[in-house]
Amino acid sequence: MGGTSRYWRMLQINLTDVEVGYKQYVVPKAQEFFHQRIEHAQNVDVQAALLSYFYAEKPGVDIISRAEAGLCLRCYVSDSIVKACQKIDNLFGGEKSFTYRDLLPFVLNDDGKTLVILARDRNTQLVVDETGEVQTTAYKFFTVEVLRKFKHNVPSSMSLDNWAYLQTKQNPELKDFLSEFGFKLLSDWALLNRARPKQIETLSVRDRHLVAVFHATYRRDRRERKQISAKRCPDPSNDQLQEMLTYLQQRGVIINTSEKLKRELEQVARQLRQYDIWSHREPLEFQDQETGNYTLRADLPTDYLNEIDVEQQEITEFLYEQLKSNLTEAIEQEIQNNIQKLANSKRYATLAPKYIPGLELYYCQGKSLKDIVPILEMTSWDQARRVLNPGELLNKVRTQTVQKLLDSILKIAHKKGLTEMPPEPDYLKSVAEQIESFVDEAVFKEAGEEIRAGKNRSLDSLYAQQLQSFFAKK
Amino acid sequence: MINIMNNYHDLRILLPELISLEPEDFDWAKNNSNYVNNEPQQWQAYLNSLALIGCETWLKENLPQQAVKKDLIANAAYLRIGNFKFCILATEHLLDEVVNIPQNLVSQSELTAHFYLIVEVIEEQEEIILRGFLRYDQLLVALNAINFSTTQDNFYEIPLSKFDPEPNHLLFYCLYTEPAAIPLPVVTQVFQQQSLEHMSKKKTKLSQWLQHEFDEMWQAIETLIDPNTSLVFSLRNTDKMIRRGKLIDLGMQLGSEKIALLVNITREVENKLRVLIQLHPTGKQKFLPSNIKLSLLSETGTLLYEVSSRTQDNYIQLKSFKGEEGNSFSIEVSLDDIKIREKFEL
Repeated sequence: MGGTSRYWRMLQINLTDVEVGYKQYVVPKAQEFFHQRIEHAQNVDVQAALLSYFYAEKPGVDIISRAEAGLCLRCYVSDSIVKACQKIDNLFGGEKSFTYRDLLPFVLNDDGKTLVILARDRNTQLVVDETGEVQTTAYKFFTVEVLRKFKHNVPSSMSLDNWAYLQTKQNPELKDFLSEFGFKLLSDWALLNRARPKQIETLSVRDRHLVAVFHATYRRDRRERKQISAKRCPDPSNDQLQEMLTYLQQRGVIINTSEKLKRELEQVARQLRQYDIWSHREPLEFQDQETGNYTLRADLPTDYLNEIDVEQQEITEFLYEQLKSNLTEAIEQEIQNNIQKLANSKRYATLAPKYIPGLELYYCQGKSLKDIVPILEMTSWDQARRVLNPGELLNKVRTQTVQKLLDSILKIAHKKGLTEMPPEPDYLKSVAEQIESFVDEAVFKEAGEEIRAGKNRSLDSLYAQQLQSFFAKK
Repeated sequence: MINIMNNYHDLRILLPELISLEPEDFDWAKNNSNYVNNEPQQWQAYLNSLALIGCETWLKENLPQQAVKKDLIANAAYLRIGNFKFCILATEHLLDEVVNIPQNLVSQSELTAHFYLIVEVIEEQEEIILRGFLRYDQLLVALNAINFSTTQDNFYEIPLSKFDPEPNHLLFYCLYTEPAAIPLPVVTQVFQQQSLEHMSKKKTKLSQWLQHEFDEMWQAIETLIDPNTSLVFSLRNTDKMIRRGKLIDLGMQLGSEKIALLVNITREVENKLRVLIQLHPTGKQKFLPSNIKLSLLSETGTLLYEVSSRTQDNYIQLKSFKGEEGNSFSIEVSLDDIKIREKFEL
């Protein structure tokens, strides 16, 4: 969500929403406070004004005002927190045993109702009850903690968004969760294999030797491996362990048996599961400098469509008109392309005829990939994933749709004298991003969430419906 | 246009661009990393090769009309489409959201590329993820913000957030723009010769200015510029800013008038200095001559930033930058083929 509504809409966990896991709620007290005190002020930096109220920077601000300004800020921060969880989910590439929804309970715990202020010394949260009395509280809202520790008037300070993101990543319970579940599907050996200097330097000197000899032997063999063997990182063989023992001896580390070495390596791997040692970094200089992106002027309209001139309006209308036909074309095109690709590959040629039936099971009958394996007589879930790959189809359809629209828009823009041909890179990027934003909002975000929801997906997105009608025509 | 507040990257958080690798790809990567002799360099070469071949597959699929060529040069992975050059950087994770770029891939002109892609290689799952990319000009902006500081082993560390997370933009650049729109540094004969000449020239130590120790060539700006002109007010006048100017003689080109090179420094936290460089006319001149170039060069002479004067500029300036004490840079003022270079150490 954008614009000033971020200051009165809070994201909260919603267990009944199986696809997304959270929901946006209007917080009436925040909305009222915002409309009365902030919205009509001229030339005001909205966020700075709210922070000033909340931190009681000016004398004579009453407790209720402080708390209500705080409520506005809590709404704002809830969005950053959800984004941070989604980002963390996204950064753990490959298969994993958790999604961002699992992270939300640790950091999205604001009830959107209780009035809270900070103590004078900013060391604690205080709850304001119905009578206006202030009380200490054992229960801490994470949103308030983020605000409590935020340094906003220091020249080198971060934007509130970036600060909230950082705080979320550093939340202790979230880190504990990730240390347990982040790499759960990665074997000890895979984890040891990918350890890099930043991780290795957190280990003891002896452990560093262990990792070094492990790398020398295991990585070499991993590169050399025969494709018929399992692709997962297997346990090191006895030969490998013996070799490692020899290298260790040369380094002055004496271990008696390969059994003992294996156990020590597993111990090191256990240490490497800590989320901190992978995610931690020194703060980089310009990470901290954000100018103007996050300040919203109270008097500026947030209804963007009102601001655009006739030419832009034409382009917007054009996009709406063209979207459906481009989408349909792209779906047909990419399905054909994928079937062709399968047919041309050595590994999957025989599976090409199963492509459409597989997608039909997925999009018309709501079957999961796992369910589809026996139905289509595939060998494994992995094979089903590689052959059917609904996420890849979605990405390809999106690319094609955007490209077609971009092509048309560039021609129109050139005709209207809005750009040279060829366009400048920044202009091209800007137009592409606007088109992407448009199509994602209209079609692809919903379609993506649907895929990510797994077996709970609803299949009523516009994209799913287009696919369903494509299959119906076949 | 449409409501695009902040959501145009949301989709890539849900659905990153994943590319599957095939068994033949692993064979190719194995063969192409064999010549490297030690860990962890050999493993990195292996990852680079996997990333390279995955990107080649992706580009070929998405740009079927164009020829895609791959190459491994100096342990780095490159792709070419037409005259566009891509440099592929491989990593096994981005949990710390930092991209490490070897310095030579940016500063050595033969190794520079129009696009730098950061690719996550999930070796066990036989997949790669295209995490983001930067155009060369965008990369320079990012590096300038950290004053081109490197780690001990000569890497630049750039936040992942600075990278464009939408790989499709690469396709669009290839389809709709030209390589010339993303200029890469060209090492010319003239440049090299001047670099050698200036190797011996004295460096101005800016940190000494903080103790008010100035070489006599650097004068207070009031002696160079008429304080009545509004130019002086273009500099935010703070106590913390120390500024000095030096007269630059561009010879016959400007008759008898000289230009003033103004250097403003401000001390910042942790031994860093912020530097702002400006060029002003002097004497009775209100405007700078047109087509004067003010350039920022790295320690090795690579062009980092350049601004040119137009017909009626009161002054021109380089975007301010900061860096750690000890780092060096050069400023070059040029008009036609006259070039004057000043070397500085922070």
